[in-house]
Order: sequence, then structure tokens, then C-alpha cells
Amino acid sequence: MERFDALLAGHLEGTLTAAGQWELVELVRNDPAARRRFVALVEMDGLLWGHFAPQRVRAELLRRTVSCLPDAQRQAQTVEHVMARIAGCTPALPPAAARVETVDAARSPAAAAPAGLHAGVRGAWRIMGDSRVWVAAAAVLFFMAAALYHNFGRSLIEPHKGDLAALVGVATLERQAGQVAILTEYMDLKLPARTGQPLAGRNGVEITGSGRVAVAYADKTTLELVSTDRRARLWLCHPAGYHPAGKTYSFGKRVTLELGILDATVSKQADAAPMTLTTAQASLQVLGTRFRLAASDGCTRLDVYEGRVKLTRLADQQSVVVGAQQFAIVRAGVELKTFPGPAQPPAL
Amino acid sequence: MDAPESFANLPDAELAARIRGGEQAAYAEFIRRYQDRLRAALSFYYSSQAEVEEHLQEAFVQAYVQLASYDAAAPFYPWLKGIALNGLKMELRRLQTTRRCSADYLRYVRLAKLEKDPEGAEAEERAAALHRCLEKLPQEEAALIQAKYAECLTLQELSERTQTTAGALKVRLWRLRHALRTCILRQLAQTERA
Repeated sequence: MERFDALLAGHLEGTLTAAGQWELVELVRNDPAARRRFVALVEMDGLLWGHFAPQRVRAELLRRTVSCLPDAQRQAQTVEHVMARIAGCTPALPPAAARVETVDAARSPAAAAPAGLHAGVRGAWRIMGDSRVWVAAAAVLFFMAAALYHNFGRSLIEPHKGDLAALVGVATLERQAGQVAILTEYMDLKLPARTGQPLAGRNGVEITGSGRVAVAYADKTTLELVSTDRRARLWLCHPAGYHPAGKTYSFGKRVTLELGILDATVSKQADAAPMTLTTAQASLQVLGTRFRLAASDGCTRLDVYEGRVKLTRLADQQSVVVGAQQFAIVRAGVELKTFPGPAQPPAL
Repeated sequence: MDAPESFANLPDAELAARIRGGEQAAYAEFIRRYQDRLRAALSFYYSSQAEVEEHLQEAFVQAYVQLASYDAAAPFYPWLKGIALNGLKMELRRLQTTRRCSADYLRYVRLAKLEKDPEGAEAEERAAALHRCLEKLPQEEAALIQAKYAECLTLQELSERTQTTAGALKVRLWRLRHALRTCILRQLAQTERA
């Protein structure tokens, strides 16, 4: 327990290394006594922060909250005005960079890789600290992916020969502005984002403060995450996973949007492998379209500009198909239906 | 934005009526009035000040948006706290399904307390007990806690101020947290007996 105490003390003082953080997470995950001790001490730390919140923090909360309140007159108007404010209640950012055009379905390789790839990816992230390890990890992943493709690839939706990007990495960080970090599974490890770096399944992307980051898949599907004031976060998850009920693999890109606004241009996906996006309240199935998804703690809003998207409310599994120039909202107390929406996404 | 003096003495129901009538500035008084109490309750579930402030803001914005559903015959704070706790419960539900696929395991462990105490009563009891325990701290230890949490000094800054090594400070803070926790548990036990 001495080692655990040292790790926890480091965690509370913010002095823990990435390796130490991982060690702490594993101990908390696997040892009930350590978990109880963690909760007790972290709870104490939280209570102290709450008790001693300085005056400047109080004043800042007041200022930020009042500046985010929906306008009083518009408050009485339609629900879409309210939702638009919740999705982005801060000053506008410069217009988004030019979007990648959609491509023909025939040119779209399925972003599919066997589930075993994740174990390799996860292991590499744990020890990753500098660029030399990156190179070694990339080489290992390359050979793992090649071997898995050789053994199982024919049972998957056939990727284009030679298009190894579809197998080795899920996507690439195409461009970024603001404070952007790459997140890894199992620990609160954040690595500085670099333009052009590959992103594996179970990697996350986080923006702190205002900013934007574009993630591009091999089939030219582009996701642009935008944070207008506080934070935005998404996770790339399971490019393909073994389907327990059958002998085949399930397919399709999977993304979880935790918080923020996501402008998506999705290339035509195979019918059997729709792209799935999930928020805390809803899930979307996309075969190819252009849309904006906004997620906050209590609400999800989907605006579709091209094509159609099936939106499902997680609470009761009710669905609605949102067509071009329509939007829908998933939020407690709001009926799940489509509303007329704009033809183009408003600039953020 | 400060709440004008004219709002400070209004009861909750009157304030809510003024906001519904279009006086948005009156909402600042609600924030001023209840932020400390709600912060103390939410702090029980987070260990980062930034996280607490983010959820506080979200709760106040949500409460404003839903103000039409507030029953002015009832006190405002329990309704506000309910909204804040609903936000935490939604996050907990999300973490229950995504934590294996993200870096959120430690956040999940902290929020899991809500499963046993969905009303968040424990949070306020402990915050009140902490208040009493801090009053009993020796002056030197109280100053250290004050510098760490109220002035937000880093270990390095604390070390320079107290002329002590960072390692020794870490141990002192560790023991102080333990002592405060023991005191809180004792306070709660006494309250229960009474």
C-alpha cells in the first residue's frame, strides 16, 4: 500500500508521471481496497477545493455563466434558438477551412481492422514517451496489421490493396488550431497533438478553450471538432470489432462525441458498414452525408445539410430520419422530431 | 456582472418571477446566492477545481433554460441541485458504457458514489462537517491548507514560502487530509448518535 499512497499523493499534487498515472489506474481498477482509499482521499481533496474556492473563481463563474445565458427575448421563442445557444454560446470563431469534397463510393475503402489490433495499439501507447518509441510502435503495428490482414482480411470488407493507412491507423490528424491534445485509453494521459499524426482506435482528441481540429479518414471522411469556449472532446473507437454472435466482423467507423461541436463530411460508406456516432443522449447511423452534431451535457442537436441520417434517442430507442436542411434535438422534455433547418452550417 | 443591490433581498419566488418577466440580470443574484453551496456539493464528486467550475456553470445555465418548470412555491436550491445532480448522473451513465474505451475510469470511480446516494445528501453533510473540522485545525496547519487550496499555490511555491522541501510538504498535506477525513467521519458519527 506504500506504493499506492505515493502514487495517490503524486496524483493529488499533480506531480505524477504518465507511467505513474497508468500504474495508479491499474491499481484502482484491480484492487478494491485501493479503490476505496482512492475515493476517500480524492473526495477529501475535492471538498477542500470546494470549501476554499477563492473570490476570483466565484466572480469568474458569475461572469462566464451570465455571458452564456440565452438571450431573454429569444428564450421565449422557439426551442431551436435555445438549443443553438446551448450548443455554442460564445463569440464566433473564424469560418471553418474549406471542406474536403465527398468522394465516390467505389473509391472508399472500408476502414476495417481486426479487433486484435487494439491490443497492440494499447500496449504501444502505454510505453510511448518519445519519438523513438513512436517509430518502433509504428513498425510493430505495421507488421501486426499486415499479418492480421493476411490472415483475416479476406473475411472483412475488402480494403484496397496497398491502402495500408486504412489498416494501420484509423485516421489522421489533418489540421489543428488552439490547444489540442491526443488522449489515450486507461489513463488521463494527454499528448500534444501533431498535424499529420495517425490516430488509432480508442484514441481521443481534446480541445481546451477555443479551437478546432480536423481528423481525416483514409476514405476522405473528415470530422472537424470545434470548441467555442471551454472544451470539446471526441473518441475514435473500434474501427472494426469482432461480432460475438457470428463469425464475421462488424464494421464501420465509430466515434463518440463527448462535448463540443462536430462538423462532419462523411464519404459514402458501405451499406453493411455505416458510420456510427454516439453522444450521451443519442446515436447516429450515417452512410454518407454532411452534417453538424453538437453535444452538451444534457442535449444533442443534429443539423443535416446533405443526405439523410438516422438519429436514435438512447433513452427509449426511438428514431427519426433527419433529411437535408432539417435538424432534430435529443433532450429531456423535447419531442423527437425534425424541424426545418439551414441549408449551410452557420460559421463558428 | 454583479447582482444589483435591489435583487439581494428578494425571496427566490420573486426573483424567479422577475427573471421570467424578462429581467435577466436578476439571475446573477441566484448565482451569487447559491454558487457556494452548490460548489461544495459538486466538489464531493470531483478532485479538480476546473471540472467543478465547468459543471457549476452548466447547472446554472440549464436551470435558467428550464426556469419555466420551476415551482416558485418551493425553495430554489433543491431544484437547482436536482438539475446539477441529473447532469452528474447522465455523465455517470455515459461513463458506465464508455469508460473501458476512454481515460475516464478514475472519473467513473468518483461519480459511482451517486449510485448509493442519488440525492447527494452525503455531499452536503461532509461539506458541513469539513467546515467544523477546519475550525479545529492548529494555526500552522490551517495556514498550509489555506495556501494550498485558497491561494492555489503549487508545491514549489509552498516550498519556497515555508522553507520546507517539496517532499516534506507532500507528506504533511497527505497527513492533513487524513486527519481531516478522520475528523469528518467522527463528526458524522456524532451527528448520527445525536
